[in-house]
Amino acid sequence: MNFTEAQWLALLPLLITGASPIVVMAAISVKRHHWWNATLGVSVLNIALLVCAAFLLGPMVGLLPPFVPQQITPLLLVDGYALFYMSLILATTLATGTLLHAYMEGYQGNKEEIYLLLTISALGGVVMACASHMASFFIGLELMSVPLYAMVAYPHKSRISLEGGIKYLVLSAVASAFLLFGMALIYSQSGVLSFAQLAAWASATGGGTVIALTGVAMIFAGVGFKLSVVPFHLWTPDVYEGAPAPVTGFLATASKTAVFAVLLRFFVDGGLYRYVGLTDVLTIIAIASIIVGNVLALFQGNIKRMLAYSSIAHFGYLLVALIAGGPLAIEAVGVYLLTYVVTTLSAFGVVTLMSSPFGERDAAQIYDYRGLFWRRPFLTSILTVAMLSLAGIPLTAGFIGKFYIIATGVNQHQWLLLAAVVAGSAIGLYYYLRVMITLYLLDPQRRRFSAPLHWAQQAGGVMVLGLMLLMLLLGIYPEPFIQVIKAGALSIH
Amino acid sequence: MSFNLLFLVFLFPLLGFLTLAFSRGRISENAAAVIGVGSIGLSAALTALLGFQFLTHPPEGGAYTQLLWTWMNVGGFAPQFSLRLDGLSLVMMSVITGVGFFIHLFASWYMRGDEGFARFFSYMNLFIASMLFLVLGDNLLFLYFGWEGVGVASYLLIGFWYKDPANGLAARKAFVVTRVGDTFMAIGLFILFHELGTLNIQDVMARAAVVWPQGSTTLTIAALLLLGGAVGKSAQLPLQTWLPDAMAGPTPVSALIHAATMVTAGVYLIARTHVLFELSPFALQCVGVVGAVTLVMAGFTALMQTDIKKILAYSTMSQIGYMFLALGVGAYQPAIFHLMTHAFFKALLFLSSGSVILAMHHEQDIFKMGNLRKHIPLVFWCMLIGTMALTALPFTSGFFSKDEILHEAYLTGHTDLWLAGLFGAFLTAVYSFRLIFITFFGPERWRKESHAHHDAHDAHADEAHHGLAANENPHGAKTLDHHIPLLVLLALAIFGGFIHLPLDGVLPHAVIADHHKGGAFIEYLPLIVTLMGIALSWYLFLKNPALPERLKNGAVTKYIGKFWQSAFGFDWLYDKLFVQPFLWLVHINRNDIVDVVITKIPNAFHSAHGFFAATQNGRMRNYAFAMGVGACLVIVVVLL
Amino acid sequence: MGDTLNLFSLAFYVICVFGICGLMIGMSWLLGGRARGRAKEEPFESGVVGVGSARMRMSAKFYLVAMFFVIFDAEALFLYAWAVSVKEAGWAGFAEAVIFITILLAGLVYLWRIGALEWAPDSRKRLKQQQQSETK
Repeated sequence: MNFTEAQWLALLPLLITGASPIVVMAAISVKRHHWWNATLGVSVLNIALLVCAAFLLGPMVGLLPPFVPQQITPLLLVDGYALFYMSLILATTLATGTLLHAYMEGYQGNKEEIYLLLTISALGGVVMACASHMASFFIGLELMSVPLYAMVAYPHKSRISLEGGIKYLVLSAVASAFLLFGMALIYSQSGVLSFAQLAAWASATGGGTVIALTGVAMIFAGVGFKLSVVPFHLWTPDVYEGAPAPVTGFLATASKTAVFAVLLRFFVDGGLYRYVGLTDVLTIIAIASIIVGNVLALFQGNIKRMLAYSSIAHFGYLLVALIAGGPLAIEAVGVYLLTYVVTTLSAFGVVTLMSSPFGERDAAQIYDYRGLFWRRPFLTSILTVAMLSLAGIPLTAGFIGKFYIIATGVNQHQWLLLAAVVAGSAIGLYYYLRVMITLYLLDPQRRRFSAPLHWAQQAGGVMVLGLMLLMLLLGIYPEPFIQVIKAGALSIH
Repeated sequence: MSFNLLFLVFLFPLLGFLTLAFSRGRISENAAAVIGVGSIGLSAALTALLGFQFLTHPPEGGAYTQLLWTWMNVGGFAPQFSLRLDGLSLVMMSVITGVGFFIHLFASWYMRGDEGFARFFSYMNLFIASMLFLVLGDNLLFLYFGWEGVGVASYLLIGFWYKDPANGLAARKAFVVTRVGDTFMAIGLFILFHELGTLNIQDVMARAAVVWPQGSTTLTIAALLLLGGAVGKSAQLPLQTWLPDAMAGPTPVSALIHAATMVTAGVYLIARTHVLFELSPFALQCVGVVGAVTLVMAGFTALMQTDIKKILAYSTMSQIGYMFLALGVGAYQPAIFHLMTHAFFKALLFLSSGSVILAMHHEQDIFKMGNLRKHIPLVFWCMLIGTMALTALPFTSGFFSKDEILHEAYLTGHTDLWLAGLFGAFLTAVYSFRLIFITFFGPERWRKESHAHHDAHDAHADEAHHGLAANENPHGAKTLDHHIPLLVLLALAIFGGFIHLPLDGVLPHAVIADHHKGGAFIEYLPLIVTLMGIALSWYLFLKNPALPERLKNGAVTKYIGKFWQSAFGFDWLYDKLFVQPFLWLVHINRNDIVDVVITKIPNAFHSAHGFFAATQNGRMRNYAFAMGVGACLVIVVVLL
Repeated sequence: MGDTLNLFSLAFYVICVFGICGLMIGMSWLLGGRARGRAKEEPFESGVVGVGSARMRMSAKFYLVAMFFVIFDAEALFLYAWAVSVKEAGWAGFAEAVIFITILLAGLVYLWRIGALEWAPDSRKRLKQQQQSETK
């Protein structure tokens, strides 16, 4: 194993991320202190993010010579695509860390270990972003998921958190079993595990053996669980509801982004887009996800469950780009994930800030938000923008993402899928607006939940405010972000 | 100093709006005034500098385009946010920021003590920002964006005193009626985009001439739809009914939005897209006819009004009719010229009327005023000069512009329109001087009126809306924020006619065969007619006030008067034509046949929701089972 | 051709799996004696009759220690793999092994510091401290 300097350099973000759990662990052993431990862990991740961003943006502005893509062992491929998704995952993790700090202040018990779990999970996500091999795919996935079980059940005195954690653990194990079995089936036919070799094998032999196809289908079943698309979506609302709000945010954003990133790479580099049957099944899954997700969200009274259902629908939209393919698809996925992550994080950010001072349950019922405008206008404006963005209203981030999806579909003449997207968006408008209206209703007498008065001074509040500005910026002037995503696009062979 | 500071012109009001909107009433009145007026002041100063630069060092091709940013670039769809500065937008920009600044300054005096002071200025700044966006955007889509923005600001400001339901109704009426026009315009834009594939104004103009032959039907329809938008915004026939009700807003709002700027947006739109109208003679003719009919009709109506602001509102309608008339005969430059001078003198008139209203303690009925020139001389002189400009007496700005319009209408051979304009000039003279004579001359009606009034309604405690107290005299303001705007606008109303507008590169001259047709008589005819009108006004309202009273009660004239007063019964007509049938339809369709069908859809979703929700039973074994089944299905579909 | 053969062998395999399971359960059901009685329902272990309830509370520490053992022991296994190829792995391998051991060590320190290695439960420890302070 002789790495060149460039390879070491390319591996740097991964190594730094890997160091972060060790640092947090060491920090806790030295002295248990919430702020200090959290800050240390977050700073290490910050360095990793900065390195990532520098590698991604440096060549664009001419500050750094381009040295990616670098294949590091058959397992990892660090290219622009990996750098973009690593940055996205790390940024999401950092945002979650900030929110967690605000949230955990009121928690009775050991607060610090959650950062340990968070950093390990982030490492898994980062590995997945550069995975170019089944092994690293699976290792990354498990490395990311296993800490998540603990994170979901972290407030272990709370019944619903425990329930969510157990459900996630068991069902996720089922999904991993499918995934692993699928990989094994493919290996039994092709004898290779790396994506590129798999594509070569498939194009050389036709690759359409029944067992190989079954394997691919089982991999999709496993991945479908992580992305919570229909029919593997049933766990989503229960787990989202049970998990602490920031963890739910992480689950909905970083975890899904990483899984989708590796899925897209598998799809493109592994040459899966050639199989017609696969496209058919994805079409069914996408349409079902859009319809079922939106319909389930319609009359939901719990904002966390509603966001869970809405995330099912959103990944249905995202699959449309994957199915449609074409030159725009990879860019579209990048843009959509970016806008989705920013929007979802800010929505969960507001839920977190509303919930933080209380231990018993999160401010998750929509009626907890009744008349929030009259008490917390800024917080309300953030949630309003987030809802508008989720609904895909122009001049917010969500519109750009949805526009890309629709443009991709139109380019490839996927009218059936487009019809589903349009119908889904129309249904979606109803429940997003319902939340918005609740925010502006008259202030009820009892005020169970309310953000701490100086929430904006806290790091979490500042972060959420920044996310709102980012949402608007993405909606008004998305071009620079699109340029970055273009730099991090995969090349289709 | 270079042109790339252009974006700041509309950024300042926007920032002002955001600052004030987010201050949530926490800042003091003075701070709000500084922000609200200051942002417009900065814009105005910047506009002046840009204008100076534009005139001394004109940019290449007579226009400067600033690309702010490309929104996004997806598969060939790349809408660009860009601003365009040329002669026309410079004129509009100067009027908006210049007149707007002085109106803001006046408003900081007028609105003092109102609880929504900061809110007021945030709306005003929003309006200015949208209006600038409207005139600077070089794309019809962004023009439409600004167009809707000014509509929203207008709605908010008409209903500014929202505690009175009547104001809310007026705001809603304005919004709904202009929306009818906006819908026409949107459809027109769709047609243009569908046919030409672009909404960039310059490209549209260039391509329209290539794609469409002279008088093509599609083009005519598109142009007429644009005209529909323009008449909605500019309160022309048949969408004029909202403007008088819009006077429910604070007077500076009436001055800024419903006299000087927003209502002239329709004129701007037609001038901006004049190529389309030139390619369709029928549409252009419609513009002229709409203007002519509106100006005469509004003139009659103004004659019968008693509310000082309503008189001015109808006179605004009539003056915009002149602009439309000018556009219709191809005299684009005089139209824009009149737009500018009208902004000066009408803003002056409205601000003065606001001053009168405050001096009379929120009394708007001119028949409860009288002899006010003794009590508020400054306002009287402002009002008088403004009226002289309005009636186009020589040596005022209005003289130059209106005279030019009428003269060109005659020279281009539109004799019918010219006659209508001439008659309108006569009416203008009558109703304008009626306002002056009744308000500022004659007996001091407010003395006995207010006395009796006070006795009758002693129970009414709300003094602020009930005129002067028994022994009070009207008293004028003495502060600079009141005087400066009036004096500046006074100067502009007199000397504004000498401004030479840099429109040659943008708008063509009217096609005139013979410049000396008709000779001097035709040129002096409008003046003669106006003087006759003033004389008649003097006779009717000052010399022999019993005569109009007799006419009012005469057998036939009574009904004519009523008819005129109700603005030719358009509100009644629309009520019978649209509102009543609609209510009737609603009545017979009480059970709502359509709704029965439509409710099926939410019901279907409801049951679907129930069905899907039943799968979310929280049992892990069911979830795992569903996953297994799902995986089997996926495998089966892939294999098949 | 190879495909159908594969499928055939797979199907055969599946049938065999189910068949053997069915055979084993079915045979014992068919052939086994069926005597009913009260005592037959009782659970027993190697002929000894069970005493007391099975719901007995055990200290979680046992599991914890067992888990630590598994973790550290399984990690140590990797070192065997390194040990047989120490020369081939060279200095780079040595550095990696050092990092690996350091991480393990950091984990041990962490466990020690958070008190996972303390045998006594927290409550008793606090009690002890209380008693000490009282005697002083």
